[in-house]
Amino acid sequence: MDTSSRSPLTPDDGVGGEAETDATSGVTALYRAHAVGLIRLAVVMLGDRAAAEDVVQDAFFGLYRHWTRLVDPANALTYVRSAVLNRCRNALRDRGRPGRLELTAEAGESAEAAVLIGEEHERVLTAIRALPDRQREALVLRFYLDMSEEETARAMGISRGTVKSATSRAVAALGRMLKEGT
Amino acid sequence: MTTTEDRARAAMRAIAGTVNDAPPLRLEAAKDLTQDTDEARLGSRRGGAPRPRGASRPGGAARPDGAARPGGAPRRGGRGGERRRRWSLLAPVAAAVTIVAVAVTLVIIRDIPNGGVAAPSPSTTFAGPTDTPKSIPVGVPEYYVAWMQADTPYLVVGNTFTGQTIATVRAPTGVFLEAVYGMAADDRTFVVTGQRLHGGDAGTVWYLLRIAPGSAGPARLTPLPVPVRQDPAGAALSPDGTELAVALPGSPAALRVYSVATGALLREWSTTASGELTAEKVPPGSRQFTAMVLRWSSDGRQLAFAWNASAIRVLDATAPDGDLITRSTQSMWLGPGYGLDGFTTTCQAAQGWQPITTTKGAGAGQGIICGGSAKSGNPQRNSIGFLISTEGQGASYIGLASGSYCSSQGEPVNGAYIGWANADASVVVGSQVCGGQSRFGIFRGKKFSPLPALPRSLPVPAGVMDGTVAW
Repeated sequence: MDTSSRSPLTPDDGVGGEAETDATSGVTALYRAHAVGLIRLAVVMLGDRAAAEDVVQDAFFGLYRHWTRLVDPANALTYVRSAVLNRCRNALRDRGRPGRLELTAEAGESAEAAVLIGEEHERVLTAIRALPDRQREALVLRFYLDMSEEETARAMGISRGTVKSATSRAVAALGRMLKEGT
Repeated sequence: MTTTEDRARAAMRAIAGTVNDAPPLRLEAAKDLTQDTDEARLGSRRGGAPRPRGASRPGGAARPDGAARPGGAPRRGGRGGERRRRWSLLAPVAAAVTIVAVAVTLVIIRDIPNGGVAAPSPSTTFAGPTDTPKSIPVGVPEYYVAWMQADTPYLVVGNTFTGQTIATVRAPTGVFLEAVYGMAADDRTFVVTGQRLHGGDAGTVWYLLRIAPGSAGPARLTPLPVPVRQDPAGAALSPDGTELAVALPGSPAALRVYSVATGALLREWSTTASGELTAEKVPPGSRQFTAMVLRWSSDGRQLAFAWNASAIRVLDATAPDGDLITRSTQSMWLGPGYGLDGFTTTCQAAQGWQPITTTKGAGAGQGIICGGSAKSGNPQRNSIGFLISTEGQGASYIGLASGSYCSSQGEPVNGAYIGWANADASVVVGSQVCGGQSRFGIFRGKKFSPLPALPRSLPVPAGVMDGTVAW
């Protein structure tokens, strides 16, 4: 099992010249196939549709700029998914963590989403976003994307054991937070 | 009791389900960026790449789908052109931007017999929650054809594994497309019905749809000489694509087999028994589940039909003309009533079914796999799975082909939908719908591999795949 965090990119320059056409078509095809899924992933992480779309667009721009450095195009989705996760993490940090968890929609849920998904789901998502980065990402990859421990480990660049413990801790912490919030 | 894990899953799926489309991708803005941020490294702690500027909100422009949403439903509140976008700060640059989105969303049929140019694809969704399965089971059809509800219904040819739209097929002039039927073994041949609205030849018209992905003419619609002018109650193309079974509506019921090449009537079975060929009784004027009425077995030797919304019966496809009921045998009854592992399971023919041959259980042999749902009383639990019923050696085997995917207490379950199944039902392409959220993919035993979402023009659960998508 390869759980290294090796980048699928090689140190090279960005897109230019004839590679531009390949990059455009390659990234466009990938976007067409996976944009909705990745926006969903970002919405789960961020709770805000507009921010999620921004994050995904940014990730694809990043992929485009580094297209010629992609060792294996088959790794493009892995790359862009990791980029989405990184950007979600940064967005949450920029947003600032609440000093004390309050199970309300204020931790990032857009009013639009809150109305659509209901109070119970909103509370759970708010709690998920209050988890530490690693726990939150492990939880989302395992329980939303239904990735195996091995796949999650590969995506996060950590060991399978760490995925297991992070997920377990995330569930425990989530249970506590939801209990406290009731 | 609902676990924390269940609650987390349900919440994440609920908010993910609010996303059904993606804005256009605008790459040109990225070309203006010279700073190499190398944000690709996993676990990067950088503050993110410079935000690409120059693209006004995708919503600021007209939707690539022409703003038409399935069923005429308005886009949900607030997501219009006024939507705030951080990357719109440098909007003037947008004028110089080439919108790659055009290439993303527009698919044109280059060669269709009626000479038309297909309309832009409507708001079809491209992808599901994850990437495609790493290993595609052998035999799963690569392409599907989806019937899309609209003022003038049309067809979308798509790739099962990538969600890519191969072609959009517009109705021939003066024809209202009504249904698409698949199941030909070559995964390239479909039958399409429509209504010619005016003129002396008004009535049902039949077409053969052949797809050729990657060619200059990715979809070709040609008239079929099938002499059935009334609304069919159902139709099914034989696996070898040479014969077309047609169920005639009303009572007395009749089932005919025509030659696809010549339109000649090959065989006919009818009955004076009370009942009609229908998968589900719906109010007059409602959409009929005509694609769920007839199915050929994978070897083409048997023809199964939904009888009076109460049973699936199987007929020897080579049997001489005669009585439809006495020449056929019941293989599965429809509706609730199957008890299994504490669950009461329901077979809903409108959610898909197919003749199979299974090696499981005492009743191994020929049978039916059916979509539906399962519920237990105490404790109350919901389950989604496919029901298999076989009749062999005097015994029956009833089993759920797939495990539970929707077990949250109180979460409404719509059930499982079958789009395609292989000969022994070990591989099923279908959807699971829980709480109004749909997931489409490949079921293999207890394993579910998500696939990109299907184009949909009807709301969940009606629009999942109840006969509107053919493989």
